[in-house]
Amino acid sequence: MSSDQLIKNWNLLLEGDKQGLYECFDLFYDDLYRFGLSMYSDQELIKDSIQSLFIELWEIKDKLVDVKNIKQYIFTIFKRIIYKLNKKFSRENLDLDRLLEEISEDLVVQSSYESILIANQTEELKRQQLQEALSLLSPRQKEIIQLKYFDGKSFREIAEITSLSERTIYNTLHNAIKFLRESPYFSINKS
Amino acid sequence: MKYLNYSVEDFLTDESFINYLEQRDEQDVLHWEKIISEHQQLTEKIEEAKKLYLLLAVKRKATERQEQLNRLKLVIEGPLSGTEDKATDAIVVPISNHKPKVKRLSYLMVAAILFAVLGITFTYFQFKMPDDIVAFNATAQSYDAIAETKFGERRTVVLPDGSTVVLNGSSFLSVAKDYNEKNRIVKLSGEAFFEVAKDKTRPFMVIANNTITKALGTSFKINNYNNNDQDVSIALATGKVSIKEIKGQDEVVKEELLIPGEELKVYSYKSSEKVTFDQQKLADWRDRNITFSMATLNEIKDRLYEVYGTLIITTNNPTNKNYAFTGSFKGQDLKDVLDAMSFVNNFNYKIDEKKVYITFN
Repeated sequence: MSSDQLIKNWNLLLEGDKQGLYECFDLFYDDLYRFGLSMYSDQELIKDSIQSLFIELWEIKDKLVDVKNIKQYIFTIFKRIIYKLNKKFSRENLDLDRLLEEISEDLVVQSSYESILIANQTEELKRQQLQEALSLLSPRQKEIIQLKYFDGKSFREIAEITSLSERTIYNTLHNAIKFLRESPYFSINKS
Repeated sequence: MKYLNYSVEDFLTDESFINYLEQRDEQDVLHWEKIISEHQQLTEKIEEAKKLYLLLAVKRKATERQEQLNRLKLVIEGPLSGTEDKATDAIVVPISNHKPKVKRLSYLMVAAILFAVLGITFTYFQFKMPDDIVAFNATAQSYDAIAETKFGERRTVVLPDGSTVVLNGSSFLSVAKDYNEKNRIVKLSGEAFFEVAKDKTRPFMVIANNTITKALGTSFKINNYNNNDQDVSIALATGKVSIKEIKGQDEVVKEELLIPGEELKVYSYKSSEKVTFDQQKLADWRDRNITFSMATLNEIKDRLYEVYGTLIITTNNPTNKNYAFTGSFKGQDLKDVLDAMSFVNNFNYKIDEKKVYITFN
């Protein structure tokens, strides 16, 4: 998300413009979702928390003028909301280990990419299958998949990060996807 | 063209294709939209690539985000009007009264005159825009939220002109503030069956995602639930409708006419297609008629999905491949159906906001 866009819409929100709120919602939705998954794997809980977050932002918009780091602020409130909502809903004990303590600028790398992928699955069977499929990939393959799709890096950027040639990255990625597609998880859940 | 021989892996390692999926580069987006619309034979592979991408990128479908945004708007824009009365099944929406009240002059008058002048200028520049396109781009403030259904809930809404809407579960309907003045415009998210009261002077229009369905006096069903690859479907039972597919804000990419028994399926990643459907099935949907005759588990899941718009997730499935269920239901709630089935089939179920989880014993 571009920071210009964010600042523009954040300021609209502060002025009480609903459109600014809705734009912020759009800008943050995917990242909040990922972040939620790094805490709990309950998708409905995450959706409800995102709703509560934006309703709260709307209610307290007059008090937001002093916020310096918008992203960090939003994720901090979000963390509190999702934690509280989960406490309210969950019948079992709180999974305190999975609750993240500190929130920094890089929001999503806190729980591993692999565990976020798995948390994104709703069915237990699919989780197991996906876990098995991923466990057969080499660390290098996983790293490149994450950089390309999750972090949205270009081949050139990945080459700089990994000190591999773009050709090697391309081949590694190509093989990794082929491998994943042939695994039970993907061949069964294809339809 | 090199793409014709592309495998799923090739698409997913093509930087320009990924840029398109990420909506990162306008040029790439245009490029791929063109490729996709011109080469339908690529659809299957591209769909699979897209699915894998969403999974690996941990991205949510745009339709889900839109649905969640609508949910937020519902809260922010204020409480629903006319839906508090939960005792009756049907709700009647009153025509809103917009007559302005002039209380104080001076300040207000100045403002009013200013707005009038601006309004005229605005109208002048808007002159060439057809009403439906204007409505398509109108903000949420131009609509009144009139009904929202919970999961598994069904509700009949009677609009001011006598048109009725059967709103299926987890759906949301809003009506243009100027409904029944010049035309009759509604917005739908979810699934609904419309029976439009005849009125040739005021076209009835339904906006669902990037489609506008226009009717005079007909009945049809529209579905734009997000948990389906197909983004919008319009199935015509009686009469005639025309459907516009809009790209961006006002570009009409296609206009289709349907005759009864035809259905238009509009997808976000490929061109729309016209198919014929079984009218009996639509009638069954209306009446919630379900008949299973030696149905397999998958048939049961599909059928319940069609009628109740509910995803069914089963675990501990019976190992017996010849598993079959026979039975029929009419006009019953999902819960009643599940109660009856679980008794015979020995399973437990849990309804969780949007899904049903079934565990076989």
